[in-house]
Amino acid sequence: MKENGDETFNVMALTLIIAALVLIASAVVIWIVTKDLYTDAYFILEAFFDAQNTATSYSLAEWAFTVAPIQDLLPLLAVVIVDSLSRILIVSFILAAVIDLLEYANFEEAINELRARALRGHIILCGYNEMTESLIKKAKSTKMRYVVVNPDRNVAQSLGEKRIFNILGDYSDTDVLKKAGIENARAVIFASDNSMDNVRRNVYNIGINMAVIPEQLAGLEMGEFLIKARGA
Amino acid sequence: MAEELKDHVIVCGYGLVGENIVDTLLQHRVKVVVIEMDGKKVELLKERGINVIQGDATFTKVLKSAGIERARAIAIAMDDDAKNLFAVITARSINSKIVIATRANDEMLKDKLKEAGAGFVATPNKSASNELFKELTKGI
Repeated sequence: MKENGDETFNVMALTLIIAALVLIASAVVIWIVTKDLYTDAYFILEAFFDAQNTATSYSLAEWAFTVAPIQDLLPLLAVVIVDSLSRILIVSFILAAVIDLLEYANFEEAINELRARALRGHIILCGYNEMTESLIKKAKSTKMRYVVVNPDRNVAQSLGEKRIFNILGDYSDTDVLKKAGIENARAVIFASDNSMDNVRRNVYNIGINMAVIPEQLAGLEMGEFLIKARGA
Repeated sequence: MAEELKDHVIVCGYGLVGENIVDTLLQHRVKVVVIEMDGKKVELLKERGINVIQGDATFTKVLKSAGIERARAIAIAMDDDAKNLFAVITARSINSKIVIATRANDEMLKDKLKEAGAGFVATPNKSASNELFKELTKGI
């Protein structure tokens, strides 16, 4: 008797594990396939589910169980299978939404913000372009601490993939600069033409003052070269 | 005016880079001819008493009217890397001895510009990054 009970328990546990795995796999597949439109897809599926659920519960099932002989139960079996699949899909959609929410919460961003606040004597690089890229290389080679502040989510993602420490946000916003640990920063470098005045204003307010105009420097370098070449 | 000049420096493009080149050269009393396409900038330069030719520096005719055959050097400082490359090739083809300085926004083009005949290639972002890093590492 006890062995029978254990066997039943094992079968149930295995069934539950398989069901859970099917659900998780379905959820991941749905999340990947319908990432941007899963809300619409979910409501369409739900409407379909409601319709066939009503049919199953109130008419076909009743008819099948009370009137039909066993060989006529095949249509019912088909309905039950569709019903089960629909339920699996519904739950999968809900799980997919949970995965989406977790992605939206973006724990990496939150962790990066905490890390940035803890930095001391670092440099804040506002914007990402060739100049900041060159500076990051130098900073990495000398183990200088840095954080890139950038307003573009796609750029942030690409920086994350390149293992470049960054936080997402508009660097003309004082709060974002504070998140980057500006109070304890050694320098702030803004590398974009956009919002330059705002950034300057913010930087001056906090008391750090350092700005370089790449074109100006290049012009001076070229001028100096020409003077030397002329004298040679 | 440009026809009379000799051993002068031609500056192509009067943006921020060009402006700084012109200022540096004038401080050292170097004779300068600027080639610029923008009419407003041309007027401004005239008001400042600087020799200026309105036109596209990638054109042989324009470079010749700036006296490239007699010039000591040319600074090609336009915004467009492709135009700069084209201007370098054109300048070198007209005057094989002229000293050429140019700018490249894309660092990858630096070698190409040197191959085309530029003696010096400034990359604004690299210049800025070097300057900033020098400043940042002061006292470390």
